[in-house]
Amino acid sequence: MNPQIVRIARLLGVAPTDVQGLDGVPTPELRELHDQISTALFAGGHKRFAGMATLAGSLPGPAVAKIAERFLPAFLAARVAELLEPDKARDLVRRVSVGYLADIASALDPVRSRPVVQAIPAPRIGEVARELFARGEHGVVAEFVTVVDDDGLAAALAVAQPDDLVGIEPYLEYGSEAQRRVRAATG
Amino acid sequence: MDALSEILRDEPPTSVAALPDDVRARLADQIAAAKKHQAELVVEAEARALAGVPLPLRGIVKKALGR
Repeated sequence: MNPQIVRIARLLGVAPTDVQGLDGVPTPELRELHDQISTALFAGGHKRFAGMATLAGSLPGPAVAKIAERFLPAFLAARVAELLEPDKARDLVRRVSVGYLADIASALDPVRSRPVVQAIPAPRIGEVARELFARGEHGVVAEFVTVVDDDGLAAALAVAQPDDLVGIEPYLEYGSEAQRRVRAATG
Repeated sequence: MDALSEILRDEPPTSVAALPDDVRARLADQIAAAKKHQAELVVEAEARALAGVPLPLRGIVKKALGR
């Protein structure tokens, strides 16, 4: 099954087999459809998420991290995280658990979260990647291959076992920038 | 404008727009259900998060959330 259909199913909260009739759609168009669905699902809540991001930026980091991890589901934290100032994100990612970060990573939109993800120190990216690999979430890691910078990618791949590299491969489009970066980084 | 375009608020990619009516309608229904579910979860999560905010800060948080 095309990994993009799996992504769409995840977004819709259904099993991949419940997303029917899209098998013949080219991968770039499935990716575009995924982004359209993501935008449609959360468009109505943008003002609220922006308000929460602004609030998070004005409160002390330890308090925000504590409240978020205790009370904010990862899918909601992801929407807020996409709107955080990168400096605030950098501060928060060291205050919450790796498990919570991995949950958030699974719900993040790679494109919208690019500035925030690139603010995360490479060692922390490596820790989250290790957790995602342990969960078998190779598709999530693959989504971020073109989002993280070179140091972040190196940190993620440094914790990958040979099986993990095999696991990522099906999620990388043939000839894509993501595939090129992974192959270059792993030699 | 069909149900899929309407819920996406955009024209779907060409190959998706060319899919049979029943496939597009099913996808539109799935998106509508997910949207409703997400909205319910947001309200529920906000209420839970608010309950965890120290009392002196709760008014500021409510204001930020537009509640």
